[in-house]
Amino acid sequence: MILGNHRTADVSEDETRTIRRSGNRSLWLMGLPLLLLGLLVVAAPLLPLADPGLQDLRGRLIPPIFLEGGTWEHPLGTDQLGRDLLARVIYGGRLTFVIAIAAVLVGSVFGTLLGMIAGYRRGWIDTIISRVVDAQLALPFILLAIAIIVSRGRSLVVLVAVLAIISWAQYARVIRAETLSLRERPFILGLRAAGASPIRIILRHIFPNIGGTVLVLATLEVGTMILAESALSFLGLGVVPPDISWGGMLAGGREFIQDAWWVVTFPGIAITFVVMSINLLGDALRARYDPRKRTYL
Amino acid sequence: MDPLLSVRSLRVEATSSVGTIVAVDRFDLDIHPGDVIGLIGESGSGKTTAVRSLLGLTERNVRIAEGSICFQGEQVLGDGKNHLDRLRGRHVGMVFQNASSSLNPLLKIKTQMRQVLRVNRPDQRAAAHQRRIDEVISRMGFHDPKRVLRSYPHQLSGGMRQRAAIAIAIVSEPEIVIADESTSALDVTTQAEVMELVRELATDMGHSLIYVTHDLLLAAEVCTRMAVMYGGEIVEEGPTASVIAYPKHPYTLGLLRSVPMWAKKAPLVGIDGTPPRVIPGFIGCRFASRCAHAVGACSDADVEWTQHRDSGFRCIQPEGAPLHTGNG
Repeated sequence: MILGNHRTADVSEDETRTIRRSGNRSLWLMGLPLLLLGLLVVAAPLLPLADPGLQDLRGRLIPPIFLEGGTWEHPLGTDQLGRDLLARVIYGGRLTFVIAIAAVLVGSVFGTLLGMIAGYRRGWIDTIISRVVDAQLALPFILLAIAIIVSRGRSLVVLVAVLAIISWAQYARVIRAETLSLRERPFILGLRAAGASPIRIILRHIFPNIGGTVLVLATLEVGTMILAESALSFLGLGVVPPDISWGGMLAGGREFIQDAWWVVTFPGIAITFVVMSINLLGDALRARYDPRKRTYL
Repeated sequence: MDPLLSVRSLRVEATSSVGTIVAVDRFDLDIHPGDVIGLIGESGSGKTTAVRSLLGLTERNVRIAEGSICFQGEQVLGDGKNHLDRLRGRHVGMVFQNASSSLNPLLKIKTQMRQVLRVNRPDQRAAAHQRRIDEVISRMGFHDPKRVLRSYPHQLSGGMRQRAAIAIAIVSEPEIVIADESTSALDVTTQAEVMELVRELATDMGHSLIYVTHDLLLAAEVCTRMAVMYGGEIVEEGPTASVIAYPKHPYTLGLLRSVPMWAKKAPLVGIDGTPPRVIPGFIGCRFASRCAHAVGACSDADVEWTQHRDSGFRCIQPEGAPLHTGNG
């Protein structure tokens, strides 16, 4: 691109390789903190942590270690019921991650499939799916969540379902657009001429060609899902105690924010750190899979 | 001998916001085993629409308004039937204009060939598929066929990609191969090579080839028969030699006169004007407005097809004189 029309095949190959390599480096840089955090959260039961549910009403609101009155017993202090904050932040991460990842999986599978079908088949199927997407995107998310959770009750499954319902339309819209441009490419016509069925074309040929986009979207959506889950838990619509999630911890500590800021601050930091890392990772992935930077043959 | 594929009075209409045009009309074509038919015409003459319609591969706004298609004596289109999808891949293979983009960039050539076999020859075992792939690729004139099989499309040159696309189109042994401007994107030497290869492969196995092109010279070299299209109709059809030496339709003559190689004694002549927009209800010869010999009768009624032995034309004032008059 930089060399204009005169670049040779060798140069372009070198160029792509350089882009790939630097892309890999930033991918590692962005992915490493998340990987470490993931390991920490998964290995939580093996770590010498306090029981996150154990209450100690005499040891309520102990400040973290670096403040006066902090003890090594509770490095990040304790909450309003005397539970160890470090253990709660780490255990809270488990559920937060599980919910976010499950929601992204469900949402991306449905959204991507519907997007590919709409983009490939066009016609009335496309019209219906697109209008549903529009309607979905027009609904305020909190309102929808309240309506569903109030009518269906609070449970993990309902929570994941709500988050998936919130996110699928985004995938469907983006993937439909990509499929629309992909289906006009001659190789799809060639496949049809070769007798391949629409299902085969969609799954074996269109999906791999848009896989990068799905990956980028899904990564960015994990961050959005964590935020959404936190928001719902904060409003009392999320996980049910004694289950712990970061949003739930924020909600619980809100009343004490003037006397014991650490109860809400540490889960808040956790949310910020994870969402930011995920967004940076998503950006690094996008740099690699951006359809606008992709060169077709 | 019965024709392999027989198309009768095919009429294809394309609808857009501007209105409906007739892209293909009164299209009759018989393809016999071993035929190499050149479908000649300028841009917009309906040749690509016609062959894509044969496979049911038209755009959404294009529909087959009437006509019937028989394959090996069995009707696949017409009388309310549309089984064109049964022909695709299994009986009719297609090579497209731009091979570079007619291959999936993410799959190796080997994988793409195997997939075509899996779809169209599900009864055979994987080992038989592999043998067939090796056989086809070794006949494509590659320096290192094994390496081509292992390659992704971007690792091959333009000519190699085109040959790979042809290999994919013929790997499931379709009785008819349609090459739609398949070589127009290649340079002249590679063009001739690739076309010769396609002709060989098709006819050696007793298969037929429809070669869609605007390149008269190339078509004349490889085709046994020629069908000249104008304004969505076939205006002249016959054995290559007789079409070139004794063109009957003024449009064919005009085309031949615009090829430098054949017109070297006579002055090079173009055809004035542009092709008409054929809308439903169009009556008369489509070429009349550009034809030097046109008389009133040309535009008064549709011109009927005149068949004389193995060639035919659609004109009421056929050219009697051969192209090479005098010392030509």
